[in-house]
Amino acid sequence: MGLQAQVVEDLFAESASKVAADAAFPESSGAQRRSARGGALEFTAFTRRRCGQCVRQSEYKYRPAALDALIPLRASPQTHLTQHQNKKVRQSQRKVVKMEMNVEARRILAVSISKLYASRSQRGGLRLHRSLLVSLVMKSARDIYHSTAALVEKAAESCASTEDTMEAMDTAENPENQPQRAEDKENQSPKRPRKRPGKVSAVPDFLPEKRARLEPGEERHEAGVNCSPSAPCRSALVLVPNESLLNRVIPAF
Amino acid sequence: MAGPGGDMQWCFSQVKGAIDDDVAEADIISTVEFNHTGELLATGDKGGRVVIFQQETENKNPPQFRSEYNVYSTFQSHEPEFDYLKSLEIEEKINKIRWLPQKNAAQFLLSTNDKTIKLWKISERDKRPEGYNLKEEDGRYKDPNSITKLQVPVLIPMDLMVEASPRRVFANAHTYHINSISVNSDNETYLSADDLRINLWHLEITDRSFNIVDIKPANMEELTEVITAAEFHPHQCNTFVYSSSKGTIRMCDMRASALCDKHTKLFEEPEDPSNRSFFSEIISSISDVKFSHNGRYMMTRDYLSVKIWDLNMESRPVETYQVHEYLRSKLCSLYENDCIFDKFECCWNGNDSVVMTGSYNNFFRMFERGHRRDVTLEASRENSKPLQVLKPRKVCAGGKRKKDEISVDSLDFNKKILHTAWHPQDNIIAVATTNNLYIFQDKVI
Repeated sequence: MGLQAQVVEDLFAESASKVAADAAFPESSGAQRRSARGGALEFTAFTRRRCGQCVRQSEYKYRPAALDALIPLRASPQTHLTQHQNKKVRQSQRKVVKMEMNVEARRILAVSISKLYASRSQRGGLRLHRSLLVSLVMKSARDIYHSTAALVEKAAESCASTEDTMEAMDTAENPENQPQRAEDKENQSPKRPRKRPGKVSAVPDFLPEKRARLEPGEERHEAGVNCSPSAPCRSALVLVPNESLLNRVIPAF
Repeated sequence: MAGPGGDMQWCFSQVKGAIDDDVAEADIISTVEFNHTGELLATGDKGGRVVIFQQETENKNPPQFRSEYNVYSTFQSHEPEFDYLKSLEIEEKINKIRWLPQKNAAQFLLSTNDKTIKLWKISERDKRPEGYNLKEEDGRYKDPNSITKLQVPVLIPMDLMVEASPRRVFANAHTYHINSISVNSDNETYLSADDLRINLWHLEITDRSFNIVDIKPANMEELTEVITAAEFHPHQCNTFVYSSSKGTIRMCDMRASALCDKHTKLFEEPEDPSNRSFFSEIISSISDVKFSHNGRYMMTRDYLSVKIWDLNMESRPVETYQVHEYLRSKLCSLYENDCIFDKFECCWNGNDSVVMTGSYNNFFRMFERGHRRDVTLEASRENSKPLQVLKPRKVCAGGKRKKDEISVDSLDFNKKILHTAWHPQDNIIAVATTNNLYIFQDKVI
């Protein structure tokens, strides 16, 4: 299970246990639970940064039938595709659909968590029925998330190799397009995360952005490795999404 | 029922409440209930007040127009409280009102908020005594030395005064939020239901109640369903039903055992796998259950549909009516704006031939069982001229919108009709919008 999935699992377990605890002891003060809110905010910020690389969330609505109408991956400039390429494109489209479901599941998870935390401060105390329904939605979203997370990771890993294969095949078939291919940056792995401005944020706007707490020593150490001696140290504050850094980003709840 | 070949049309009668667009939260109507004769109509609101309307008995109006409902009594039933031990605020919102059958000149009703049930006596006073020997007219005691004669006090007529006094307070019996109360047909007991327990009370005894249903698991993390509504059978004093958030209804017989955790019958319809989504559990949660007047059927309301169950058949409902199926594709948005948690109520007409329930955009729906006809009507200020016939409304789910149709995206989800009531003997309905009460009647031809 990926690290991100582990975060979801932990957060869900924590929220579910808090719902159960509040339900068993409705006398618990809402103030006692507020310390966990920081964890939720950090999770949201983390999700947002990760989702910066995903398809625009604002234009996505969870509607299984409509997934078929999604715009497929950008087609190759060539009009004629081989059977193998068609198969690869269809596979990529299915993977995009899975990624969309993954994104939607995370979005619903974030909305559900915000509802759970908001319900603790509402007048009349925690509503057991409503909290139960929200936790059931979270469970469904978590299940979808887990089932698609593995596919998403696999898709991300095979994406580069698939494109390399396609490039090689295209080069073999159309040697005259090689100069254009070299300059085609669309299908190249991005050196830095692209930011896509969305119309509506996938996560609730009322949750403020909060950077994940980092170990200062480790952060500076990482930045020092990547920075050239002549570059300004401001780059030390930019988070680079690599596996080793992710291990340190996740705060303890 | 307005429809092709139908001979009944609904027309506007009255509207109660403020006209202001700025609605105070305390004025939001939270329950509506006719009494057993239909003469009295009670409403409860979020501010803890109960307003009772009475139908005028003198029919001074033309035959086409029935008597109006005018304010009979207003009183503060519940006040906001604070549980210091649990650090919880207890809302004063009236969740349910139930009338008791009338035994004497006074009327009795039960009203409940989240934690406390109260029995109120509503009585009339139209005479006052006059001619006391020891007291003046203003109540001050006379100087005994000034009393020289003896007279018998007499009762003289006065302006009608309606008094509401709390006769019983049933408190401290529910840990979770009370969602239902139901008076038994024996007129001596009643039940109250919260999320996990149902208690049986005697109307005369306030310091104890019997717990008859308890679905609280030993480990709360294993909680999978809660009780959403409960009601006694209209004729069998030993039978009651309760609905759950999983979409099931359990019927229990109190003669079987003291603790009715084991149901006598379980009414459940298998879920359609093609409709499975993130929000299947939410929309299958039952928000209301009502027995028919004849006691043979019961009706349940979930988020998208109304189902009629034959008490002799547990496997599936005998009738299902889609209230607003066009919302099925909007569940994600409805989840985000919390509308998916709305609890709609439903009601039967007097002879159990028609059922009614509310929807959004101040629409309400009626389903005629025998002829399988349905109609959508709207409660709005624009249609509130006296005796104005209500025009059926139609919602366009998709495709080309016809004239007079309203598209799904144009619906106002802030305007919702959650509470409706039908006169037990006549075709008069009370429909509660956010803070207004609309009364409609059928047009007598």
